[in-house]
Amino acid sequence: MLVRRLICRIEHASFFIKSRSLSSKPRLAIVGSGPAGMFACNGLLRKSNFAIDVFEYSPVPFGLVRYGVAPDHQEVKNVINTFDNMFEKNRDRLKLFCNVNIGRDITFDELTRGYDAVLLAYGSYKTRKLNVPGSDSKNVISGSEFVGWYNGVPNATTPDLSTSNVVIVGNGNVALDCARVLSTASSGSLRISDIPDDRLSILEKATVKDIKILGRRGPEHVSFTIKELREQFKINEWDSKLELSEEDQKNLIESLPKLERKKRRLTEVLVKNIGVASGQRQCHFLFHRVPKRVIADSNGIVREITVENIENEKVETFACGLLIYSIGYETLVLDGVPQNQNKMIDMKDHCRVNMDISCPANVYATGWCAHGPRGVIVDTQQQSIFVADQIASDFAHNRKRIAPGIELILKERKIPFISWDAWKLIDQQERDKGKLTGKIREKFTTFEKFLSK
Amino acid sequence: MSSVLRLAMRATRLANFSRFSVETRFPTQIRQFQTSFVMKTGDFEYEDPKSEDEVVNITYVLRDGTERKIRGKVGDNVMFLAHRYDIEMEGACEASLACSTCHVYVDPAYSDKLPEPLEEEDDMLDMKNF
Repeated sequence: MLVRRLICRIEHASFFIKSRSLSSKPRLAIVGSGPAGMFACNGLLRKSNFAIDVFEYSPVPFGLVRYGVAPDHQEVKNVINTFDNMFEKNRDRLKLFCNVNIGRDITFDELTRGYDAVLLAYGSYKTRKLNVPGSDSKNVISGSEFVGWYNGVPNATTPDLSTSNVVIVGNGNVALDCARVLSTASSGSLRISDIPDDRLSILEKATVKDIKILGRRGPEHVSFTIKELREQFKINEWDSKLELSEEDQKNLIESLPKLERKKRRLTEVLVKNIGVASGQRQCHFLFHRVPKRVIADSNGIVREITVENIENEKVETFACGLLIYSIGYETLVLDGVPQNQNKMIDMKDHCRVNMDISCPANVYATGWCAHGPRGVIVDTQQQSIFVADQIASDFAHNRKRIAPGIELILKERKIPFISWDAWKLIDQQERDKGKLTGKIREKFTTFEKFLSK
Repeated sequence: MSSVLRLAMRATRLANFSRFSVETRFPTQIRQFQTSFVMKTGDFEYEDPKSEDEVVNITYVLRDGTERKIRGKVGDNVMFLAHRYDIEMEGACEASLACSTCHVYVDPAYSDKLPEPLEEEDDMLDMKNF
């Protein structure tokens, strides 16, 4: 009996191998069309014969390149041209399905049955909450919500910017992006960018005069990158200063000769900007401040934040009509994907997910969903190339079966999606509309009319 | 070899024989970038040298150690030139000095043939510990 089954299997397998060698390519699903997924995709198309389907939860592709990169850093978005070429050159084996939510429209298990390999590259989009009393007050928002709002994410909550005082909690680049956009918008310099018009006009009317950027730890622990940090100190009409205790000043300056190049150059910029902000518009970098309580006015809108200065144990209160917190992300682990004790995807090695042996597909993960939200685009790119190499070599000799894909399921369930061609139509219309007012593009925030029927 | 890390997009105005190790450690390839104030498209690199005087011989050392010898010309940008010859080198921001995906290691013997790095280039190289 057993022998018969084995023979059966072998025949079965050889049939598949034969038919594959005639026409079929191994199939790969990529979950997420941000830089992690697209760099890996580009590498794989070059190194393997995979047919690749890319799934994106948003109605339009490219993840944080479209919805995260700051509007005054348009050059970074040039990478979209690379992705464009990739889709155009590989029409025969690369497909895009935007507006498809893996986990809801299609389950992860269905994906593993539909493909020979699945690459998870969906980033980390669950913001870590500011868990202090009152943090549910109105106009207390996460940095990623604010960034998403000015970058045109559909259905984003509109912040109230008619306030003089803003507090930003967090010492990473998201905090700097928020501060910079708030401080530069009124000058009109963002008018040619790709911020949607209705959102831009709210930004340009903002009356912010005082921004406080709070760090829980000392200035030696900031996670800013040097370019973004320099930019904050160069904004016209704004005086931005690091307001440090004498001890912090001394330590920071004394540490300089001992630091390696990268940290030293960043610290030099910090040291150069120690002082007390003054003038009409001020941005204060304050350290060792731990948020304790958010206080709202009678309408439930944030009015002030109480923090403890853990250097001198004093409690301070800062007025703020808008509170932005950017204190990290939590990784979302899709149902069916194993999770480790840190609530991250359980990885077997640098890129393979620790799947149960019964899982029919090879499952990989790369980018922020695999390793946490760290690093800039170059880190993600390098990692993704490595992952692409790995997947290509895993499949060089290992052709397991012919996977059916999931296009049929999409059809059966009548899940409307946006294809590559539909996106190119949107892209063109956005550019054309932007041109009328001298903008790079006018991002749409609704896409109903482009959805497949 | 203690080579000098530079962005390939900034490695231009080559003279004589230069050696570029196209990224060596960890995962990588090189990527290219483009600077709006240098040149937009990289078309220049697609022109052949007009005379032998103009020729700059370049060796790209690929990730797997293999060498590609390329006949470039004075003024070529190392990143765009790599693209012309299909040498795997990334370049996410298309030479606008906004990322560091096109980094290369330059043989120190030739490093002083390159222009001094701009502050912006150094800032980008600091983005990552290569």
